[in-house]
Amino acid sequence: MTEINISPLIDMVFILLIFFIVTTVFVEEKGMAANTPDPAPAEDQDEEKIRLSLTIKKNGEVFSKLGKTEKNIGVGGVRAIVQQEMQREQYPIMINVEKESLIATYVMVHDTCLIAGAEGITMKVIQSE
Amino acid sequence: MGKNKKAMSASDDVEEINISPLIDMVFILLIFFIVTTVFVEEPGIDVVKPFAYNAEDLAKNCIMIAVTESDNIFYGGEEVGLGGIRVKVRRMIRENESYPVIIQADIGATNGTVARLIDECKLAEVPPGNIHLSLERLNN
Repeated sequence: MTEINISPLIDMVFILLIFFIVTTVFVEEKGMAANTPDPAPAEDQDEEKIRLSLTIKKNGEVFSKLGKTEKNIGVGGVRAIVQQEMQREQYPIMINVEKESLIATYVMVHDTCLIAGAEGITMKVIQSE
Repeated sequence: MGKNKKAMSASDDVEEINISPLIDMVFILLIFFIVTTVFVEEPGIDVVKPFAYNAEDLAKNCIMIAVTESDNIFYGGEEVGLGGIRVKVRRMIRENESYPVIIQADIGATNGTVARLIDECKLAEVPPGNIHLSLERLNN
């Protein structure tokens, strides 16, 4: 019985194996969806004035604006006010951010909004005062 | 004759180790690596990611862009400005429409830069729901 010589096959397989071992990177990214608002018609913006909006200042302070009342609530106060609003009516929340504010603060506020049950959160850049 | 045969079989025992299990294993490893390999261009810079509870697992095939502490934007191992990112992302999206964009922003990056980067990605025809911020997951 003649045996087929399989050593070249094994050589090749080893080379392929080494190639794939070397090139493999195990990418395991975790994250959250980030979105900026689309340019909206003027009437929509009027409607948004009576709804809740959050503002992150460049020094890390968080303000809430509901109707005409504006309050400095800080990151810790976000959950309560968002939860209260979301139980009343589900609507997308806009987080206004000053250009110089840090992404870490935004992520904290966004995360808290998600915990409080909000959906469709967008990040809008505003000029700092 | 009998002596000769005995000698032959003895030498056979020494020479031929059964390598089929080894080859089986190598094939299995090879298939594993072929299946798990994704060719993603890494931004080539380390960032400290923000922490969050709501961090979902993202697709393995993706376009990765990093924003450093000093608001520099990195893609594919080199620094590209805000102006250069749109062309690169659009080229990738033309090839693979379903590829999400993952923004690895350092905790010290400013929201102005990240928001403009998101805007650039939207202009590069990335569907809005396909843009993600890379995070470190906190466990509760």
